[in-house]
Amino acid sequence: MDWVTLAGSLAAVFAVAGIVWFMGMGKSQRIADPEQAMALARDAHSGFCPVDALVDNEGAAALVAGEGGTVVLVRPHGAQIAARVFAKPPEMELSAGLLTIATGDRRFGDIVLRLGDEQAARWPALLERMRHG
Amino acid sequence: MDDLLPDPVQYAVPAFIALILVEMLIARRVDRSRYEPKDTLTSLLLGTGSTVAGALTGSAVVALSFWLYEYRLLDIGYVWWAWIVVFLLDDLAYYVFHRMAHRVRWFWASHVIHHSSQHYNLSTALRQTWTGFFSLSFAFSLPIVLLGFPVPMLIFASAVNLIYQFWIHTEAIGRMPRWFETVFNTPSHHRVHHATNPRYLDKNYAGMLIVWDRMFGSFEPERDDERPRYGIIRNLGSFNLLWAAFHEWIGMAKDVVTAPGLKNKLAYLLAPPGWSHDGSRDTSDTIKARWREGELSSPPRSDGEGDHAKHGGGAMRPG
Repeated sequence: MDWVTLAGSLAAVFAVAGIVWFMGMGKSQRIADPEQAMALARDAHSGFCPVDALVDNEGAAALVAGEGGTVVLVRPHGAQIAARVFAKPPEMELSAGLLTIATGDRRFGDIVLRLGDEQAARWPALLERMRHG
Repeated sequence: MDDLLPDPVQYAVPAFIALILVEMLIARRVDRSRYEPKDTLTSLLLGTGSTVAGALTGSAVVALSFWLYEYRLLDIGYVWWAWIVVFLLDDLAYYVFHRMAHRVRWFWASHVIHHSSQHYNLSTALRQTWTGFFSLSFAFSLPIVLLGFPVPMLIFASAVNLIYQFWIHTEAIGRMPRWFETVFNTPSHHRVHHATNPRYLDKNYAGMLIVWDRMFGSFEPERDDERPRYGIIRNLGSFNLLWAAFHEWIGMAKDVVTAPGLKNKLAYLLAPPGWSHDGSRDTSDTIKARWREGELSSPPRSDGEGDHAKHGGGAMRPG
C-alpha cells in the first residue's frame, strides 16, 4: 500500500460517512418510559429481573433497579442503546433534581438523570430497595 | 519465491463501496437506524487501519508460508482438483480459527473489533482487526501449506473467502433459497453470529460454507420471532477508534497484571472471553445457562424470549 492509495482510501471513507450523515441516517434515540427502560435492561443483561426504573426527563438515560440489588444503566449510543451492569448499586447522588451516577467507566461516562418531582420523590425508597436487594 | 496470483480483494473494493451505497438507499427507505454516521466512520477507519496493518505484516506471513512450504508433505502443485480442495480446507481452517476467536480470549482480543458495532450492515463487514498478526491468527492456515498446497493458491482462496463474507453482513436480504441456506453461509446465518441474544451467542462460525457448523454442532437458525440484537455483551458505548481497536487487549493486560497466581494469569489469556478468577463476570456459557434457566421456569411464550423482546430497541422514540 502506497501513500496515494492510503490517502484515496481515507478520502473514500470520509465521503461514505458523509453520505450517511447527509442522508439523515441513524437519528439518536430516546428512552420513552420506565417500561421501555426495563425492557432494554432485560435485553442487555440476560436473567435480569427489573423491579423499578428512573428515566431522564428527556429520555437520555435510565437507571433500572433489579432483584438482588443488581442495577442496569441504559443510555442511547447513536441509534442504539448501550448498557452497564452493576452487581451492587454504583455511587449515586441526588441533588436539585439531578441524579448523578458514577459508572467508573471513562468512555461510557457518568450518567446524569434529570428527574421531575414525582421521580425524585421515589428516589429514597428505590435507593433503599437497591441497597437491600 | 513463486509469483503470487492477482489479489482479488483489490478488484472487489469498488464493488464494496457501490454495494454499501445501495444498502444505504434501501435503509433510508426501510429503517434509518440501520446506519449511523459515527458508527460507519469507525467501521471504515478500522477497515482502513486493518489494510495498513496487513500491508505491514503480510509479507512476513507470506515469507513464513513459503519457508514452511519447503518442508511440505506432498507435491500437489496447481492440478485442477487442488483448487477445490484448497477452498474447502481454507474454509475449514477459517471455521476453526473463528471458533477459537470466540472461545479463547487471546484470539478474541483481535476479533472483537469486528463484533464491536451495534449495527449490522455492509460497513460492519469492513470493521476488521489491526492486531491479527500479533495474535497469530494466520497460524490456522499453515497446516494447509505443510500439506503441500502452493502458497499463492492458498492466498487466493483466502482472499475469495474474505470477499464472500462481505455480502452476508446485511439486513437488506432476508433469506436465500433453501438449498443455498443449507450449504452456504448467508446473511440470515451470519446475523445470528453477530447477535448477543443468549440463544444466538457463539453460533454460526462459518466463512463460506455453513455445513461446518451443521457438522460440528454450532449451527443455530435465525428465528422470525427473535430479532437479533447486535454487538458485544458489554457494548463499547463509544465511537473512539483506538478504544475499539485495542480495548480488549488493554483489559486483558490489566487482568493478567492484577490476577493472583500464574494459573489465573494464563487463564485470563486462554480461557473464554468473560472468564474471571472470582466468577464475577459472564461468559457466553453462563449467560446461556441463565437464559435456559429462565426459559424453563417461564411459561411458553410466542416471541421466543419473553415479553421484553416486544419492547426492544425498535420501540424507542426518535430524538
